[in-house]
Amino acid sequence: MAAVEKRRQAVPPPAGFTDSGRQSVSRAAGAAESEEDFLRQVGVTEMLRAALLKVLEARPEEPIAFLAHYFENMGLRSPVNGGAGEPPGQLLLQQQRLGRALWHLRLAHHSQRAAFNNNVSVAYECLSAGGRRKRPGLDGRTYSELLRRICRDGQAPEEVVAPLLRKVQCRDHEAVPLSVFRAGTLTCFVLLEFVARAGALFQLLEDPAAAVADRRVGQAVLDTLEGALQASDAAAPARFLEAGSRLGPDSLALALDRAVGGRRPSAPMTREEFLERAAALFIAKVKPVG
Amino acid sequence: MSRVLVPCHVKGSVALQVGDVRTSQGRPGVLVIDVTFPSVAPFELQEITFKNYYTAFLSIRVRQYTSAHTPAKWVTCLRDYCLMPDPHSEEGAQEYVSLFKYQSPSVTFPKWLSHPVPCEQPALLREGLPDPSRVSSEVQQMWALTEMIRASHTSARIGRFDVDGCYDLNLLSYT
Repeated sequence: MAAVEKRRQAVPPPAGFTDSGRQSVSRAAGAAESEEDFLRQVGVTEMLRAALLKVLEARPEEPIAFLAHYFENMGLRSPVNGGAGEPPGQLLLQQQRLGRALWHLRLAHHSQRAAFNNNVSVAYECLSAGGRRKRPGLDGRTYSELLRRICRDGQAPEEVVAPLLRKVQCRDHEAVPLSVFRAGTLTCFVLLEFVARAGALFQLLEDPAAAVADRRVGQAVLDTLEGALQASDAAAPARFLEAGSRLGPDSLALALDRAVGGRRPSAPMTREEFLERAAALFIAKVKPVG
Repeated sequence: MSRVLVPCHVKGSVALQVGDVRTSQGRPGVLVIDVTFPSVAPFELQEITFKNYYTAFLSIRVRQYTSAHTPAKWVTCLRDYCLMPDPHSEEGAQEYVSLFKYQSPSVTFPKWLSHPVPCEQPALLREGLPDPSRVSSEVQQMWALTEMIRASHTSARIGRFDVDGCYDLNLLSYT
């Protein structure tokens, strides 16, 4: 890569400095300073510092791949691709902004709340920035599109997330403030994790050969969860204790035993139905935007 | 195994009270009822049934004859078994009560251990049911995620003044 790029003129070149750029012991201190100045002037210092800060904030599992993506996205920002020809159209710009915003939002897990909130702010700014033909601010249509993309890329089935989107999406013409943006994106990511857990739960309940679960068992588990979520008008500590006792292994074992021991016959429940019903319990607790 | 009624003789109740029954005021709190079994043949007591009449707590002591040579000793089989949850209310005041013998594996246990436990013990799980601790772990995480979202309500409003499309042009034009 380095061989293709043109070499800048070093300012000023010290005497006796060869083009191969090898360090020699007799180098004066001035040469070292000029290199530092050089880096600072072209903005590499600042860029690397920002990149390292991002890595520290996000703590990704694969830092090198993370950095590679980071620099790739940086390339999108600079007007390098242009050169000659028409500037990219509105649609392409819009897609680019969305992609960048999504990338920012995925940098940190929602449980790393401070980092997540930072990224939300950056994504919001990215989407709200004014352009040549765009007024500053985030409109409802872009926001709704972003939420749809988050859910789709999170591999949650459409029917499962549709009720949530209906609750948190904004109308096309509405202006979306940062607080609504933050709440909506957080809710989507948390729902994705919830659906992933529900999927893992279904795998515990299902009959591996048939890929369906016993309806009585599935319903018993969902009913227990619903009961624990509803036992929630009391103050915080009592509520958590009650939920904890309902969702403990003993209590669940009893519920499962009772469900299977009854006289109702066994019937199958598919994964899709289980996920939909579980997600409905979550979505019921989401406050709609208004 | 069939069950038969064991003839027994119930003596009148005796008040346990400090002092003279006739002269001191108030009614005693504790009464003792002796039950004897006139038949000499040994038997295994399975069940005691009686009708309560305003007794709140019951203790049962049994005098066991374990063998011919050792003297008989008193064994407490039931201590302060609650018959009335609130002694000042009617609940349980005139109920029929059955007390069962617990099948104890060891011979040296007293013949009576306890009444049936009010809440069910977790029985052995049937075959083919999922592991409850793993199910519990997943369900608890799902509960926690939902609680978090419920708690993180944003107070910001988007400034929507219409309710379900009441500004819809078609509706407005019909007023």
